[in-house]
Amino acid sequence: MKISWLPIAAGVAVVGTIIRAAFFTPLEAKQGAAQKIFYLHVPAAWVAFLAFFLVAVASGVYLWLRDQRLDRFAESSAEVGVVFTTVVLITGPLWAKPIWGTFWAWWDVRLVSTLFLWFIYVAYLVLRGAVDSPDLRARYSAVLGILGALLIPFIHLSVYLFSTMHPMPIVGKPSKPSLPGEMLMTLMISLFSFTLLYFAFLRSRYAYAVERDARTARLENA
Amino acid sequence: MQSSATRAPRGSRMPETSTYYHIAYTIALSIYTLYAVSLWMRRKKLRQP
Repeated sequence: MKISWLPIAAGVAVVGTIIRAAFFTPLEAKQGAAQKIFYLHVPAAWVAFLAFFLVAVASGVYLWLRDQRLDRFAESSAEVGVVFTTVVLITGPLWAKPIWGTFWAWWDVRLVSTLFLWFIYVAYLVLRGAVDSPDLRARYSAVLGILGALLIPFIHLSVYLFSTMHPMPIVGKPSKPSLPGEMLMTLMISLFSFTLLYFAFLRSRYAYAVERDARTARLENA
Repeated sequence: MQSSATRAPRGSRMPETSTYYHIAYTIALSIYTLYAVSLWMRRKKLRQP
């Protein structure tokens, strides 16, 4: 049996990250232990944005080349992106409650636009299940996949454009990160680990799509 | 929310927020694990004759 190194490496990296975050990263002075949700929440948001950006790129190239591999890639990346966005939408309110005093605020543009992003890509997956023709399915979902990704820069810039409870970036900004060295290192390791997990999920989901399409083709030819 | 993070001094008093931290980690890791299991089960089901 062939052993795939990517899921093993991703699993080890994620477990190592959790151990480092839990036991070898200092507590934040004002927030206490809840601040450690940062090491799950921010990487999940980064991976969700990466996943949906790649959906848009693969979808755009699909509309040009009409290569089924690109459609499968977009489908796989969208599903994995929805999983990571679900984590963002659950860990965010759990962090917000002890710090902001509320789980959710409908006036916070970043919260609501991230929820819309989740709805768009859930709709993308529902759409794929509802259209039987492979060509139409790929074309419709490619258009939705591109349109959905247009929300990503809006979500990123929402803290600059609107009044929001979210803080200004403390790492991704022109000046020096406002984070002690150990916390910054844990964040960097976490970003790497969860990106590796994304690629492990993506490869496995893509392999599933290939096997599923091959099986469908076999059944149609039988 | 604050736009910077500061290391807590040793022995300092901090707000008790570890319940939220534990719940968040448990739910997030459960979601990732369940998704990995679902991928494995779907591929296994496809391979059944």
